[in-house]
Amino acid sequence: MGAIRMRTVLLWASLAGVLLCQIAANIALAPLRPAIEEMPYPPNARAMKALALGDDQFLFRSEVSWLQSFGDGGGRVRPLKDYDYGRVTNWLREVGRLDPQSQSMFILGSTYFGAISDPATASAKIKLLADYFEEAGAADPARRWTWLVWAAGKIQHVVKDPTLARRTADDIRSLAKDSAVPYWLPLLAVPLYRVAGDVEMAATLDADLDMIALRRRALKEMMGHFQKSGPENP
Amino acid sequence: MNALIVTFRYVLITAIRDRMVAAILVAQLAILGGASLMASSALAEGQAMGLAMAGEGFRAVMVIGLITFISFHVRRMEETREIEAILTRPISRATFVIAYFIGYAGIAALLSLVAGPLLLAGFAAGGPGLAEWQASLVLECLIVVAIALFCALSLGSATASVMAGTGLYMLGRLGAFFRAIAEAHTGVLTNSGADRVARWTIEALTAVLPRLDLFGQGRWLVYGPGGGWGLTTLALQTVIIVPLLLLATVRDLQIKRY
Repeated sequence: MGAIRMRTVLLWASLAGVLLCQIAANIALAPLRPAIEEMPYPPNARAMKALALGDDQFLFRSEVSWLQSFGDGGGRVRPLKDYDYGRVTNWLREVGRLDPQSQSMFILGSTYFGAISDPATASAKIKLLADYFEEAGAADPARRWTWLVWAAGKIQHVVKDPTLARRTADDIRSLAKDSAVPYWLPLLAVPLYRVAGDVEMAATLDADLDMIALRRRALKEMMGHFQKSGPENP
Repeated sequence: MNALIVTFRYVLITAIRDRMVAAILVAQLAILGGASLMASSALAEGQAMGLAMAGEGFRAVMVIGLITFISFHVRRMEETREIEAILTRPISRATFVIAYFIGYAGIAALLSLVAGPLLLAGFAAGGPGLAEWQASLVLECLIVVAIALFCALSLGSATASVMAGTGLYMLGRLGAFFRAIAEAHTGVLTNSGADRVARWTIEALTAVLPRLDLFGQGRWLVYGPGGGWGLTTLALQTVIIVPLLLLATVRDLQIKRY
């Protein structure tokens, strides 16, 4: 009886001892945190297909979640200025192909990666995002004109790249008769031509009767909206 | 008919006694919780995130649960000589296989039917898309049951059966991808003799594998039915592959043991 009790006590003591060792080891290992590595290069479309195991939607949502939380690991965060935005935009492109209907990649690109404010690097990094948004917006304006507007705004105020500004302005102008996009969209082309250095084209468009009518209509609508919502709640 | 009902009751009791039913239900609730957490942390389209995550999770739990349960249950029946005892009665091997398939399939269908209401309650999934996804999950589970039963009765070990069943399932999900690579003549498959053999092997293998990659599309949950195929295609695939696997199982029983 005494021997059995002794064995039981020894067993419990051993268990408690090993448990304490594990807790002590965890405390000692606490400073070791996983490194936040550079974002890897995205896999190609075929590799994506293999990873999806037939369910593209699941892979798409998993990748969105991964991209959203990539720089947050082990209680530390990786600043956006340290990201390679070439890889970021390539990931957005590749993952976006898995679900062309979703707006997630653009929301992630604009509100998360696009929120970079580092004065030294923001312009070059946002240029890559704006380039992707412009390309995607021009390819499917009915669904993605919002992102064309985002790209136009960033190109005009942050990026100021003449080549990209001209391409965006040309694409926006070509949508003038497209009923799937808002009527005021062509108005965004004028400041972009100025950024592109084509003052003559900007002036011609400014004086165009159709553009003047569009501007008046947009202004009237905006004033009506302000009057309806009041000055304190525009 | 009586044998089928008795077998179904027996399999159901075993599934409850082995905590298989409870484990799958708990896992499904845990998946719903995890998917809700991911949905709430998504920057945009949280509902779509939750639906895709929960849908895949439910399917994974059903597949792993069924393959494991069937493999170990069959193995135990072999160890206790239960199969031998059953086959000494005036019952054909085909009836035995069909009775057990129906028993396992009934459990699989009942358990998989929990997923739809959970998706509806958790993420307000849309009606037609959810119905299509739910029906697709039931059909996929029937195929998984047939794969697991084939592996369990053909192989002498539960571990080998679980691994073979999971491997066959994964091959079914990746078959179309392998075939696309072989047909595209890209990657490492050049025109040398060895590569031609590799390509023919892939083409032969994928010709007999079930197209499991077509089942349970997350986009049905998010955007509704569509995408080029629907339940008719999946039902056709099921009514071809399930009898094929069951016939192979019966043949294996006839030539190997008992």
